[in-house]
Amino acid sequence: MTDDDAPPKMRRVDAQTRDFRDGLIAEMPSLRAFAISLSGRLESADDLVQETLLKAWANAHSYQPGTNMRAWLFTILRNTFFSLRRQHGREVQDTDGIYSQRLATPAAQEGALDLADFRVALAKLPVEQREVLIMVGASGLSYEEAATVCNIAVGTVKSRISRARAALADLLGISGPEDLGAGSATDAIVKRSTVGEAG
Amino acid sequence: MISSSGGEDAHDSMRGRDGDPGGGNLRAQAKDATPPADPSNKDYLVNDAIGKALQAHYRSLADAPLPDRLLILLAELEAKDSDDDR
Repeated sequence: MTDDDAPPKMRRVDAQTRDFRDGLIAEMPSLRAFAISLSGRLESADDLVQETLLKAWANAHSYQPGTNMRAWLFTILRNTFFSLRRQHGREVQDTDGIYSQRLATPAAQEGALDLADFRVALAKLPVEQREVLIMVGASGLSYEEAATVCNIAVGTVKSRISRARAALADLLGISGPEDLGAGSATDAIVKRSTVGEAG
Repeated sequence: MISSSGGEDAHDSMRGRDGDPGGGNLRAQAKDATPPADPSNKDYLVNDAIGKALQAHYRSLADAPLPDRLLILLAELEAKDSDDDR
């Protein structure tokens, strides 16, 4: 029986399954980037993504088509991460950013230097700050979506992001525009790295 | 290609709601949480720099090739569902 011959209900289910599968595939890079940013350890991150995909597939009926699948998946992954963390402690979390450095695709030459320092600083943030910073500042979720994912108030998301940025600036030694060189932290860090290598 | 389409999608989201590649999402939403977005404002410049580094970090991770085991897992789940339907 071809798809066109199938009863309407079966065709609809197949189309929904296909759309859901395609949605998962499209979100996997982002999901994995979030997992690595949370746990740091590559194996742990891939285990987290795998567990998230299994749970998402098993609970596909609870996903509302048209809503933000990324936020839905982040919620599952985050809950899985903290559940494992409660069971195994900090062994599921990288604290120096080394693993994310090894995994990441090569960036532009000047970017590779600054990203190494930035990742080390990012990994030192409390995970509660790091997760909302990643969600809102990089993955494209809104404050409201991040608040829903973390089951906290929007104001708490904002204050955690504010503290995270202040902590990063402190860790990177950026106290003001004068530390930003030509106008970016990237330039400042590249400059510091270059000076360090020369000395 | 699965990995490339996903990567592009991740990039789209990271450009922010207004298409700004430089941490626009964070800044655009932070109007009531941080000082006004004055380009000469000290905090604005620092936050802008951190936003760009954050997005570069995330983008490089999202661009990394997906491990086969995750793609195989999805294929297996889909095949299992197809078998169950029969």
